[in-house]
Amino acid sequence: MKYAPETRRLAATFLLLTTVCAGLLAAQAPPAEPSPAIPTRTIDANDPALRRISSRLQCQCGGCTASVQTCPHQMDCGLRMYILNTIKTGLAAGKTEDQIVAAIAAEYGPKILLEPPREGFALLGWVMPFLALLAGAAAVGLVLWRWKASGQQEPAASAEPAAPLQPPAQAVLVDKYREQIDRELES
Amino acid sequence: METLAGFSLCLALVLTAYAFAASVGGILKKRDRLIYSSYRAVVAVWICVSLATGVLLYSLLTDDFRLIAVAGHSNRALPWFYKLTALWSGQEGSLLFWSFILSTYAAVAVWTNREKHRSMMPWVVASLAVVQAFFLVLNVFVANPFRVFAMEQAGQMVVRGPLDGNGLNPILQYPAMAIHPPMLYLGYIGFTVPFAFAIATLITRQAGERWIETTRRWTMAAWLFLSIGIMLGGRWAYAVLGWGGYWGWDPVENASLIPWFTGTAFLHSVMMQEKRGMMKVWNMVLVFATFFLCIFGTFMTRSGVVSSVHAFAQSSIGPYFVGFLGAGILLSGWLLIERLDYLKSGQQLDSLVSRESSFLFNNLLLLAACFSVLWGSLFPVITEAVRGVKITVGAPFFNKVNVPIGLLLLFLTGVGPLLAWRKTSLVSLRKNFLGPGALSLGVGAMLYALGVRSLYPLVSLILCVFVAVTVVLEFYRGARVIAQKAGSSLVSSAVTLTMRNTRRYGGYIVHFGIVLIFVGITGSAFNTEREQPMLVGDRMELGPYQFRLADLRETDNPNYIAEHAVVEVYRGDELLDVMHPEKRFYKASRQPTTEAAIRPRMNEDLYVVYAGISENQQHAVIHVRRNPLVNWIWLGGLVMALGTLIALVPSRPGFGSRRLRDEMTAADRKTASGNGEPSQGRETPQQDEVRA
Repeated sequence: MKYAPETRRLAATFLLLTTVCAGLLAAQAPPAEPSPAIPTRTIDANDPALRRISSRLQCQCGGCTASVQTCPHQMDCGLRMYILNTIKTGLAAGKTEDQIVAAIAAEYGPKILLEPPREGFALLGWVMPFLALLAGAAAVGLVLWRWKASGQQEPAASAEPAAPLQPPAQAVLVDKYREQIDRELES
Repeated sequence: METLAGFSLCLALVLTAYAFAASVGGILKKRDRLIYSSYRAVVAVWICVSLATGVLLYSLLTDDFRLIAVAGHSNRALPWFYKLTALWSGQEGSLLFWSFILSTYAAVAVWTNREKHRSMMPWVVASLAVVQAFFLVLNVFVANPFRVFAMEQAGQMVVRGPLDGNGLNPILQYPAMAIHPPMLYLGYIGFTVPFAFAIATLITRQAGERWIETTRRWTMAAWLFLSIGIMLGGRWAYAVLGWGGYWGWDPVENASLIPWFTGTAFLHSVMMQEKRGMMKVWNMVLVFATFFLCIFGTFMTRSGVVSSVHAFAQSSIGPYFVGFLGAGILLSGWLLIERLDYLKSGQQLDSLVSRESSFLFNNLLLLAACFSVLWGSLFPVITEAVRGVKITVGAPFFNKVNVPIGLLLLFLTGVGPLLAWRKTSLVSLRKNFLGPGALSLGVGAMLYALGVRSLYPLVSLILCVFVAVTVVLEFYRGARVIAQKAGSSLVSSAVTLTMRNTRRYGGYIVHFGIVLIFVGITGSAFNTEREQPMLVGDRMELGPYQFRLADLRETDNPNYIAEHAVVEVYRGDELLDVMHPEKRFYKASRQPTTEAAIRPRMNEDLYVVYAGISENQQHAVIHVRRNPLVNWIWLGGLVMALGTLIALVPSRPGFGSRRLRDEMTAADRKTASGNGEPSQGRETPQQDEVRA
């Protein structure tokens, strides 16, 4: 089955857009393997693992929507200090980042995770924006295809010899075209 | 006085109802006098609401704590400037402020257009009156700002307030925060005017694009206010919250961004209707969506729905908003479907590589971003309602979803404006994109060699260079033609070029501002930080800088007690600066705040926070950050505002020197006589020059 070049181009544009989106997303997906265990050691406030874990957890000090890492209440937030200490203890005991996060989520409930889990109902949260984008891209593709089709029909219809226009009608058309050119040159 | 103000609000509600009835009645009965009286009623509503707002402001300034709204959000020690801003810090005051701005907009819109669009204006008045009535009902019956403290004393009810108020939330006591909410409100409410004109157009089946021409500047001004409001919100978060960032994807922040996306989509797609008569239905959908999302944004921030469904159930205003939104969306949708025939337009496309398709993709991406932010903000509420489990959708989710969409949008910002209407030839494509493409890829390779390896920052910076070069080239090409003809310098020619087509070149400046903002946002990928408990005299290092805690001091004033650290910043042995991060404790509200000390530079900010005393009560915990390029965001915001202001100024096709005008007229004549056949908008390099 053969497709018109425009249809192929349209399909290619659509595919390109979705591939770019998917590619960019895949680049951001977290690594599938759990992070390696960290040997027992003293953990200070600048430890990269401590930073990473505390960035995945939402601070719970009343109305605060920031992460434990960036909680604006700093030292005043007792809960932040407690969670940071829990993470430090976990890291010092050689637990993996995912194990520590899972343990804290078990204690405080899933609301402490800044990202919704990628399973069950919460998966819908992740999927919907991309479904919407794809549906929108399909709609744009369809609209372009229909516009293109009507753009091609127009010259075919006017290919038939038309009766010569009367002078006033001609003048009206010329004015119309002049206005159109002016508008487009101004754009 | 509060009785007078309360009465004034009631009167405003009655007058609004009259404006609606008189405008609709006048047009149905064809009575001009009735219609004119509705216009006067709109002005009278403005006077009544202004009076009420004035009384509340006066009560705030004079510490009239008998009023619940004053006692809840102000106190005696609060500086007078912040007493005024307490107007919009509480529910009652902010809803009154909504009414005030809407009544002002309505009065200006009706008064300036009363003689222009005779058939349409009564319906504009009626639409504005419906929205105004909704807010006045809230002001009068649900969140009345003039409620007073009453107590029983010796068998009688007496009005008596506390000796002092609870004070203004301390984090709101910051200059940018003082103007951030009014800007957002001016933006939110500004979209009511195009909405009202769109409704009136549909009802009266107006021919042509009159509603778009009339409301173009309203829409741009509303968009400008909303953009400034969002930028100020970011600036406030950066300076006040103390976590070193400017955008936390908080639902309240998101509420301002959601209508901004649809408003931006509308500003672009409206050009399709003006230039090609296309997308008439879609533009209606966009202006409706923007308006309802503005109302929804107010609902999100005011009803507490974002924190929990239960907060919504307890909120006094939530159900009113849901009712208004539901009825409004149903009515507008019905009207749109009813008038689909009238909106039919001959839509045709000559080529897929054209401005038309780029606008469609621009709209697609803006709406995808809008949906993802809206969805992410509401998903916790949906999950709680459906599954009964509370989950969080925070910054990592929004970044992952929106960064790719943002980068694609940035790409379109560079490509779209250079594509011609109808069809772009291969020659034109090569001419416009080869240079910027090669240059940006070259810069990309250089950045890669310099060690920028993360995908998103690299792609973002490449695209920033690409868009910036295309914008600069557009100015250069146009200015060069004028400079050659008029013998003027390139800079003055660029000014002439801009003044001759303010909308187009103002738009390019806005795009340039967007590039600067993207550069600034990309900078956050390279942030570094360090936290350390310190004794006076201790030092810590971050990159090439050394930070020395020189002293810890305490100050006291009637409003707050402050502990501040004196931190000296060294580079090598050279003392660069002395910074003073603070922790404040506000007395009236009994709340602590963190005041970061910022040393702003175009390459990077040094951001120092005094987090407090450590757990062992001996050390001061100092948190230092290097935030590269963050000032580019604020600069980009200014450039964006400048571009929009330029686009708001009417174009002056005759702008420039007399010699230039003569030259251009002669050239126009020559072009007209030498090329009789219209080119149907297909772009050629020669035409590009004539266009300029």
